[in-house]
Amino acid sequence: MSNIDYSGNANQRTPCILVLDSSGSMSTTTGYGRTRMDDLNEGIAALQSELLADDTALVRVQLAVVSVGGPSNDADIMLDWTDATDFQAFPMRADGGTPLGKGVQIALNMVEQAKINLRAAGVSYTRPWMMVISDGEPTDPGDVWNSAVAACRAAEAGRRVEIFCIGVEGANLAKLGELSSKPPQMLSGTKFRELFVWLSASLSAASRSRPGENIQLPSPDPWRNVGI
Amino acid sequence: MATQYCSKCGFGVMPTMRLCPSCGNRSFSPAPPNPASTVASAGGSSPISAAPIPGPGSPPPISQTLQFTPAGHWRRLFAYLLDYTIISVAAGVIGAIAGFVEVRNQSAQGAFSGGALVLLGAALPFIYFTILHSRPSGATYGKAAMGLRVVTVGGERLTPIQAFTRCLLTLLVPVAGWILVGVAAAGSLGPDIDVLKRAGTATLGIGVLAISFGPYLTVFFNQQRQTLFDLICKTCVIRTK
Repeated sequence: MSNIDYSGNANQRTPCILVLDSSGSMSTTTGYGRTRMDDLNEGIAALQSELLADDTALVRVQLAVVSVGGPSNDADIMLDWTDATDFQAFPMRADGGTPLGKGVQIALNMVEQAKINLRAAGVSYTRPWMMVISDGEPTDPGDVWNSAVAACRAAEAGRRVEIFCIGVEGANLAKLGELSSKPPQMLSGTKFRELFVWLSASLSAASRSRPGENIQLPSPDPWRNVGI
Repeated sequence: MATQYCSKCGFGVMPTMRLCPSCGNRSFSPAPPNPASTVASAGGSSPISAAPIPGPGSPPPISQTLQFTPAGHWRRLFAYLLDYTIISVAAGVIGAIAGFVEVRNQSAQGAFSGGALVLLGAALPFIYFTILHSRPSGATYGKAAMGLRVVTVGGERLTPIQAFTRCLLTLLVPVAGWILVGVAAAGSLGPDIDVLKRAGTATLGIGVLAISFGPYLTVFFNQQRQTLFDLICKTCVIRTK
């Protein structure tokens, strides 16, 4: 059941779910007393700032977060679907393993639930996005991971979701790349802020499009490691 | 948007949060479980929300210092100047239309229409700040240009009533002060003696300056850079970029 009251804002929605690695390796220091998780948290804050500055995206983008690892040492829905107008950045904590396969499965289910809620409310939507960010290797059992890969590929092939996989230094990019037909991208250093600024701009472009329309995304060069 | 609090560590989160990012707990309550205190921060950011006090055995709370950076003085000043330029231009246009209406229609109706437009011009600052500060972005055009927005000290968007109250204080307190100072200065002028005249003028000048700028001097004495009006309304101007 939806937590969102669509009566006050019936604009078409662009749902975007973030599958964020909050495993123990994200506490790796990056210099100046900061960790990868500090930079990720700064990126989430930048996402909020950028959305607030874009009046159209603010009323059309919906966000949700699945955390992989973290204090619960499991994959869980951290943030249920939330309109960008109500989204507030929150700092995540690094801990535990990386049950990425389970996290991705949860995210796919949430994407389908979002569509059910939007259809029930009579609100149109563009194809949902799933962005998977990890700095390590999935710690799922083989069958769980393979099942997640198959589900992702099927969802993308059925044009039910757009999946973007971003690896952070130390990530098994080949493994990450199994989730999507699009090649995974490696983040340059810990340029999470640049990544989330790009994400906000991309969501803004998607939110301005009509459902089913192809869109031109901004260049990922500000955050992408072009050497990979 | 209302806030809920982790029932284990008291971390304040959005109502749609399902897992506490601080301790991994899954249950939340509408009120914090422990009295919270504001945590000061070194560096450019200051927490607006109160930090939770951890219970025994619970992990230390994550600093919320990443969320908000109070607006700088110069950015705020330029935003202020931009906003009043916009309002002045709009008020000028309305005033010109009002004058044109009265000239063209030399009757009670014309006077009424002109008067209504004059009132609209006078109400323009209230309308401008109330509507724009309570919209989702929380920013007037001047603030948006400077990358600023107004939020409550809890980091939430202002309601229209909050925005109107803040606007009312900001606009009317100086005016009320000028009137009081003017009356006091006029009283001190008294008999036609030069010394008293100069004292009255000086009183008037100092009083006007104090009333005009005094409420804004508090920005230099608190970490959230709140004016007196922000302190009364429990709001804060923060950077979005």
